Amino acid sequence: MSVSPVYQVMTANRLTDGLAVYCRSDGSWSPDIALAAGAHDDAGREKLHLHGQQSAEDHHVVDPYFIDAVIADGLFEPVRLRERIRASGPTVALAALPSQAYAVGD
Amino acid sequence: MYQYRDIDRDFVRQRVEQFRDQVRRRLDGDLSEDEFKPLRLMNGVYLQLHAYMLRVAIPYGTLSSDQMRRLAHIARRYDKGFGHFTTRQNVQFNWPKLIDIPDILGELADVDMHAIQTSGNCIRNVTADHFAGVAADEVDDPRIYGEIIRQWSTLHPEFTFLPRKFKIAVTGSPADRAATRFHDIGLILRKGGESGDRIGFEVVVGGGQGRTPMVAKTIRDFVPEQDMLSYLEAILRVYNMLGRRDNKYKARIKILLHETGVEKFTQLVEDEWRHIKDGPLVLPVDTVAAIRADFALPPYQDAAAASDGFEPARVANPDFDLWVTRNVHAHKQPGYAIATVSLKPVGGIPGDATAEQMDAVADLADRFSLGEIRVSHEQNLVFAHVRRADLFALWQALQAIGLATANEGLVSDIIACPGLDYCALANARSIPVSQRISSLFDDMRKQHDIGELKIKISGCINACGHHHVGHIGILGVDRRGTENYQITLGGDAGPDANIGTIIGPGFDDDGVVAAVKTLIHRYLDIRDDGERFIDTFRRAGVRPFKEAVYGSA
Repeated sequence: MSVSPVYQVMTANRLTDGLAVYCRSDGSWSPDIALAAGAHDDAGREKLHLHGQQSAEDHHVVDPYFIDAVIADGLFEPVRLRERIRASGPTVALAALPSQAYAVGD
Repeated sequence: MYQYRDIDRDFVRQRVEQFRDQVRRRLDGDLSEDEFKPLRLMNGVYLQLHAYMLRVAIPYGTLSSDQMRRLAHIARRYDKGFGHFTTRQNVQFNWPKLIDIPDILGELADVDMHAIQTSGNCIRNVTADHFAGVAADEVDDPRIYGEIIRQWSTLHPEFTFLPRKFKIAVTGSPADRAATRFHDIGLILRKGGESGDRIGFEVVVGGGQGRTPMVAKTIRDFVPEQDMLSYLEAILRVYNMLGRRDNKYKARIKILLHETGVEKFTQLVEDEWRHIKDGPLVLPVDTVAAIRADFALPPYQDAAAASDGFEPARVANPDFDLWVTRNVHAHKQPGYAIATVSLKPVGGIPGDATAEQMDAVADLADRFSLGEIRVSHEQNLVFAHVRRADLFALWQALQAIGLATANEGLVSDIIACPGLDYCALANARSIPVSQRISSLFDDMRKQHDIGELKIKISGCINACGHHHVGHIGILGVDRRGTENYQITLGGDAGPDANIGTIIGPGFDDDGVVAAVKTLIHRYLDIRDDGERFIDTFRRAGVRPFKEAVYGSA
């Protein structure tokens, strides 16, 4: 089984609503990490870094930073648990109703 | 409860409009994030893992049914249909859009609520005993003094940029349901003075949790009511002058007290107090009386007629009897009771309530508890004025909305911070661990057999889930990229305040759930008659528990 190389993906929070967003290759941002651009060399990282810096200066996003991600089932998956939860949402249901809330071990 | 005066309403309205302008300037690009961040924090707006989070103050944990309905409306209109009640008697919304927050604050202002000083290095929302005013065991109503402190500390110019955040709790009961000894300042109401019957406070300072947990020390046995604010101001002034600003992890007053020594610190406070105690901060008798009037007991009905039907209902309904046993408490008014509404359904999320539940709680408060609701630091709600004769009907109504869990103080009444599911600071998840532990004990009678057992879970060392003071405490950490959970035993937030002891190496998420189960089984094996978990731990020590989890050395 082949092991995916580690890519770097630029992420930030969108200014207007705070949602976690990911930088696409054209410099736009999406809440869907599947649409993100992944850099695997210095040139790619520099391009994403400049996109992030410009977007922060233009007040579209807040605090851009790189995360490590691998390819899993054809899509980017963050390496760290924190970023996996940030990309896919809380691992628990959004409401307090016990019938909906129990979602452990996912 | 306290009724806003015009000055309160004008102030909150002005603050909403000020923040509206600040948000507009941020969105227009006139303010950078560095410039905007301290402004949003002073208005309770955080940027968390997934979205902004708005923390709304519920001063001393008291709110009206109309205010609860407004929270439900905000949850429904601006969030994802729920709110989260916290260990500081606040409520948090996890998904508001920045562009909506000025409108949300306007909606809160309509019902005399706000989010001011729910963040930042200032004096935070004052907390109090959630049974305040009605507890059979209290000296006086701590909310009177909580409100005076709120007015004094709101936008206090000298204390807006303290070395770190500053938390004050007030209790009127020797039972200390407000965890006063784990606050920067705890005020414990008592009677004293030369005559022995004057209202005043024992003042404890330097408590806290986080990465350096400490139990507060008493620096004065009795401060008369009239001197409360001048004494607080003296403490804050010493802290503001001498507290460290070079290292945020050493900036809390507990570190100053520890490094200075209790005796010297007390002397510094007393020296400062001598200069100011007879100045403008002396509390006028009529001011205290006016605020006291706001918290006067409501017009209760005749006690004799109020108890009809209660005992027969207990006998006829064993599940109701279980709920009464754990969730109903003595009231100072004969014929009345205090009822805790558990926000800890087995397998649920501690402290969460849906908009529908909040609306229903508001309606039940109007019907059964004179339109008032309390929020406890243990993330439950409280009806403080229920006729004993109404308890059965209240319980039935709570059952219909999933809020009649008979588990107050039991193994499933777990405090848990939002953890890595929501919080940008967390290292590990808290909520799923609490769900798994509470689901181990879905047999309510088994929970009652185990008895009082306080489990508290934090997802990082900041200890928002109060793990240091759990009978069983669980701290989630990041260990080489995976979640790892340390267990502490023997913590206590009450009058026998104590910080728990780490029992050994941590566990993964499966392991920590199994370890908690093992600890509880060991307790059941070795407990003496009538012993709670904490009693058995104090008698037997950590060894039998450690051996159960890790085996004999």
